[in-house]
Amino acid sequence: MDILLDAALMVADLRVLLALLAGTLLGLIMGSLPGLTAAMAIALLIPLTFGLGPITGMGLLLGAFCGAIAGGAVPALLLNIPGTPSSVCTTLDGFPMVRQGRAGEALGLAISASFVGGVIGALFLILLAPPIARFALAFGPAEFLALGVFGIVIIASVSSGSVLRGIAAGLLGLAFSTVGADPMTGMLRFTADQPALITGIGLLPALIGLFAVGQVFQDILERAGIPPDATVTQDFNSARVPWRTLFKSWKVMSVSTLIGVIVGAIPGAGGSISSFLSYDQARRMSDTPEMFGTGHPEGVIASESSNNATAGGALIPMLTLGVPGEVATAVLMGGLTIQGVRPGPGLFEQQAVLFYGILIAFLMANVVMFVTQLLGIRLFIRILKVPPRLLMPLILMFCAIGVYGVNGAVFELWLMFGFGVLGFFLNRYGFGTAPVILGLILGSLMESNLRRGLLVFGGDWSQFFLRPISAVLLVLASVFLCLVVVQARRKAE
Amino acid sequence: MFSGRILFDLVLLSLAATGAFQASRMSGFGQIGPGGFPMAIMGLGVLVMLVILAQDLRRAARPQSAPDEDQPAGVSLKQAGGMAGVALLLALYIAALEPLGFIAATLGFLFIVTLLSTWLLDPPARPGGWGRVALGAAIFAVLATLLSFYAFTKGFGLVFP
Repeated sequence: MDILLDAALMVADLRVLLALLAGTLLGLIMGSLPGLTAAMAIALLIPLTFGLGPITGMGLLLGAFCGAIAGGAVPALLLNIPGTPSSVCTTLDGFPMVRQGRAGEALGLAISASFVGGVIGALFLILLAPPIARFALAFGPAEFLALGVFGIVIIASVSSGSVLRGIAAGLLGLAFSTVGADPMTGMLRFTADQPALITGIGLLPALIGLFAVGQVFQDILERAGIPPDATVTQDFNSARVPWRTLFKSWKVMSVSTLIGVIVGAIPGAGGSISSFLSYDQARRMSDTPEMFGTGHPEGVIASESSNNATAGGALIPMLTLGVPGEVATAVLMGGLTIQGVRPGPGLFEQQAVLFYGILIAFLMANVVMFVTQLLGIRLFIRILKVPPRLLMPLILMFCAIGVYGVNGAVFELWLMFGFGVLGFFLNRYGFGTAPVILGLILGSLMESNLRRGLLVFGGDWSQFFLRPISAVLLVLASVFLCLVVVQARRKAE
Repeated sequence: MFSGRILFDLVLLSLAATGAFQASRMSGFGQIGPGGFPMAIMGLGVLVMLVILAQDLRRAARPQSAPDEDQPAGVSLKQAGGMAGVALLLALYIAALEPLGFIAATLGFLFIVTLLSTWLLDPPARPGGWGRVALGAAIFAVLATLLSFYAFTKGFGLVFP
């Protein structure tokens, strides 16, 4: 208790609070711009932390981390363009809500669900970090493969159109993940003699192309020749937190947050996977599952509470084991190391006050993020007042900046363009684009763990089914797959 | 018979088949070599696409007695041409980015795409209104380009050509 009190006093410093505010604002801006990710926001701020102390520096970085994850929901909802990979799932119900004139409600739900998920994730972090870290340590190749298989079943499940087309899109994503150097032997696969493809197809050009560029093409096709007055009018006065809807959806929020914390604690899993798992679970728990994908509030709640809880979960392996949970936490680790703090088992034992100070700073970052987003909600909605004839060229420009800004590679811009054309046709013919992204993320996870597992188990396939966690995940995947097939048959009838 | 949907199905099917064939020729050591996983994925893709193609061909062969809710709405020449025009301009922008530099390429791109978007989405009511639209597009292009350039280079430290 004394340690917690000392840690709280460490954070209750004006400089730390200002750093949290500055980091959150910057993170919100970076997360809101398609192409600029949480990892980039943190990387750009690291040089600014050199002269600051560990807690102030971490406050700045944690604010950016929280802000970017939450900020990704803004373009996801308003423009169907996920600001970060973990906001892909938010587009499934959030964008239809905006199309129906419910932008204020959608933003209010996203902001509040992010806050609740983030705070609960932070509380889990403070109270249960060591046991969750032990659970995460139990994940080996078999468990990661089973998680990947589970994710593939989710692809079929979240496809709002034909299940078969969703599976085809997911397989397309898995196929894209095999482009590049083979992870085990280094052999080049499907690179067409392009040196830029040796490292594979980047997630960012694919994400921006499929969602942002493809969406712009689609919007132009749909709106061309339609008078602007004929488009949907937005209820800007509804831009506030819908507390009643949130209280009614407490079960969805609780389950999604729990899934987010657990998945976040698994190194390499990330917010994209947890948000899809939570979305699927929310659909199964709902009385109106057929409404998911058409603007169901619980779809937005599940995705946003989960991806912010994942941010807290991702800090668990980073702080307790010295293993980053995802890309952004890997960069955060760099920031900590620069401050002379070495994350790992020793941090909790030797610097417990600093350890809890970081966790409390993360909790504060979520509060600051909530307040800033609430204050800015009416400003966010104004984006929709920008005439589409100006908004669309701007979006394309930001997409190009986002993709080019990461590596300075024109080839990635061409990849973005190619995925944009592909995304347009995938949406037009009912395949969807979200399964492609999920397949791209899961593909490398599945293949490397499958082959690593076979090496470790001496070629014994049964080990993938005999280990407890992987067995449970595979059984769940089989049950869900049967449910998906039954539901698809009922829908066809 | 060969609608856009069926053509797209055929494109995906041929990509999957080509990929599966190339993967089958990859050798390697260990129980699953470099070609194993992609061959399994693309082989499954071939099967799935064959089923989808069969469904779409059956649907296309049916007499059109009821509207097919899965069939995308028809497009006019203006819609298709407009979309193709924006795609072409984006491709030209990407090609011109390094030779011309960020500011010049982006200025030109924003100006032309804004004019095209205006013609497609919200053309001026009077023919004489195009002068004002062009001036507005030019101002918008200059402001957006310069603000973005300085925000991202000086503010975020990115490097542009």
